[in-house]
Amino acid sequence: MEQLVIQETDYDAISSKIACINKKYLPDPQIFSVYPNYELLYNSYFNELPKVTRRSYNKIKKLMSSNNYPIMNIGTYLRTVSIDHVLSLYLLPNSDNAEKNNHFQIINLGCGTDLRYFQYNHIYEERLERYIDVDFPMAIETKGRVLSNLNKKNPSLFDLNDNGGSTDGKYQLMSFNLNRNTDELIKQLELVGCDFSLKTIIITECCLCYIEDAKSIELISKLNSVFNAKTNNLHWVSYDPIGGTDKFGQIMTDNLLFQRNLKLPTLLTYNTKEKYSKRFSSIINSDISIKIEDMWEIFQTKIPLKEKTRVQKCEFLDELEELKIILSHYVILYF
Amino acid sequence: MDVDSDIPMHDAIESQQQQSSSSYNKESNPPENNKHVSSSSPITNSSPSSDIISNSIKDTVNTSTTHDNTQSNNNNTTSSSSSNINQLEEWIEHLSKCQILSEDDVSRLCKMAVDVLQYEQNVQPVNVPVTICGDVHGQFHDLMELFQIGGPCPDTNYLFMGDYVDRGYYSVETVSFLVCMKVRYPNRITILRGNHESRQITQVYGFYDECLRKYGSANVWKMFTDLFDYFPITALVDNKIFCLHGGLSPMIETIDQVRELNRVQEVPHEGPMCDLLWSDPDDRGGWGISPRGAGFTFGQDISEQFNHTNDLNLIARAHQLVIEGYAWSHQSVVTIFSAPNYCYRCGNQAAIMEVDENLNRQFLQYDPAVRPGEPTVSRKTPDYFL
Repeated sequence: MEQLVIQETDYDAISSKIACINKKYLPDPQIFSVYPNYELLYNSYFNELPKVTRRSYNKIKKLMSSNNYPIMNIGTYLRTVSIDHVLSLYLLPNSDNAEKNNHFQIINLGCGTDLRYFQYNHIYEERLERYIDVDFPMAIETKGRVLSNLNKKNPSLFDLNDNGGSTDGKYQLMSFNLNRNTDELIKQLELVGCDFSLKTIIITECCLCYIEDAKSIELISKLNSVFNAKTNNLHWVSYDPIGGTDKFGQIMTDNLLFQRNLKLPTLLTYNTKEKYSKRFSSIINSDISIKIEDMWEIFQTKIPLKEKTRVQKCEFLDELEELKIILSHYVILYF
Repeated sequence: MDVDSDIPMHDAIESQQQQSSSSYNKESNPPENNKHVSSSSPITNSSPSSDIISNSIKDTVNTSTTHDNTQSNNNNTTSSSSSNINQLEEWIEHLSKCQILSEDDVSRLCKMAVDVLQYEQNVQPVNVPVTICGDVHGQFHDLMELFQIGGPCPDTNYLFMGDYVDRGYYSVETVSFLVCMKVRYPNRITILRGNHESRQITQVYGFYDECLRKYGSANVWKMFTDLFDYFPITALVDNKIFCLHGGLSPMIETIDQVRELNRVQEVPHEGPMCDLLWSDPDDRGGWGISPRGAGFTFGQDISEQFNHTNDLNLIARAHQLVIEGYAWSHQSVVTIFSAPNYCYRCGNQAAIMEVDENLNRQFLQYDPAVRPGEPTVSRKTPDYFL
């Protein structure tokens, strides 16, 4: 039951993303210029979904009709582009070690319906060695079936096998409940071809926030040591809500617990940027510098003026104070 | 002009008209000096605005009544004042339980409200004592809490500075209740227009969808948004406190210039009326481009000059979420926000400002209403990024 509640948060994520695409917030022009199929990809996934699970489709559809305030669209836009921005930062070819280390793999823990593999394989086809999407068995099964159906309709866009993974084994869909033993996770990653000596980027996008504190520490710490034992080339990109020092976190905790039975065990523990980054800095090598920014800072300082103007023209935003409160309670951490 | 709270409605309307008639600037609509409002129903006037009223009412109720029929209906509703009072009290009691009125009742209510609101001025004079309130945004239970904190209306006089609808889950109940109170106690409560009292904004921010959901059609939305055109846009408390939803406009130097505006229209995208409903005070001096895309930002130099020119003590406005429920800008601009825990997730306090007979001010802050036994679980979860 608890698993299902967490799994269903993907409905919020995908409904928000599709709403954002419909309103032309996404993709940002930069992504669009290098990967023109973005809109097609998400829309065709969503249109295929009811053939695999009508229940999920209906729930997403319902969320789409209610979660469509401009404030949500801006937040979803920022969440998406800030992760893409950090990924592209790490994926720019290094000039100093132009060969082996230019190749990389990505592991998306709690991937949900995220379809970044197709985006990144298109852009970095030569250098992307492996892309592993990890989520609950039911989520992975649905995703695999939808993708495999789409593949039959449009093989040139997808190039997948019958399980939804890519024919060359580069793209792997892996069922795993992250609440289980991390040693087991590592074993399974190895089974799907994860190379622990390769430059690796781990993505946790609204994933750690659903995991118990002790478990999340184990996850970070064991993954960190297994990758860093062989190479010093682990990157991590994590997006999560933080409770803040005001009432926002407590209200969010109560709202989600009472109305959806969704628990956010560490929202109030890692309630500030400093504390959120400490859960990593206390584990990883101290000479690695961890960066963390909240979405308001991203909006104010990281989005180029021209792009910001474009985004603000997508819809009419009625107020900024609320936007500031909401956005300052979501952070992106990366190292 | 201290009116007994139990004043019969025709008296209340009449005194409103008389009070307005002296300074109302629109070219027509002079209320005739007739003891019986019914026979000189303003709606029978052939001014452009009254044509708009009757036409829009005809549209909204979607009947085939002729202009004359509409007028006579109207005469009937305003003439039988005691039955009107009973009707209004019944509606108020019903709405107090957060239950919506029928579509027909909303139609009747809106007609009665036009009769009251069209005689109010662009700068509606308000006497002290009065309690000044900011955005409510469909948070009906918190509006009931507001009346608990500030004292029941009509024992306490109220001035609301707009934004009754959108964002919260009970915009229909909230605006129906406030309009009912306005018609029942026209001299005890003043309801200004906010930037959300607009056809365009309500289609994006929830009121339109809520009307569709609760009534199965957009009729009620059309009735209310047509009514919003008549809401006064500013108020002047005891000639000293200028109250409005947003802020100042570079095209407005004097309060008399506000009086000259034709307010009976959809909130325009630009110009003085737009600015009054959209502008914000800012730390930077002078006029600035508003990040909202409508209205302007204005600095302390601007507000000081405006207050000096118009012999004012204070500008009271709403429009911006402030964590403590009220916040001072410059030295003489106060923001009041009356929707606690805005959108059920922001965690802010709400506030109202009491102004007594001597223009002493006191802020009352409050938290969200506790809703014991309410089916909060069935309520929609506020939006989060998950």
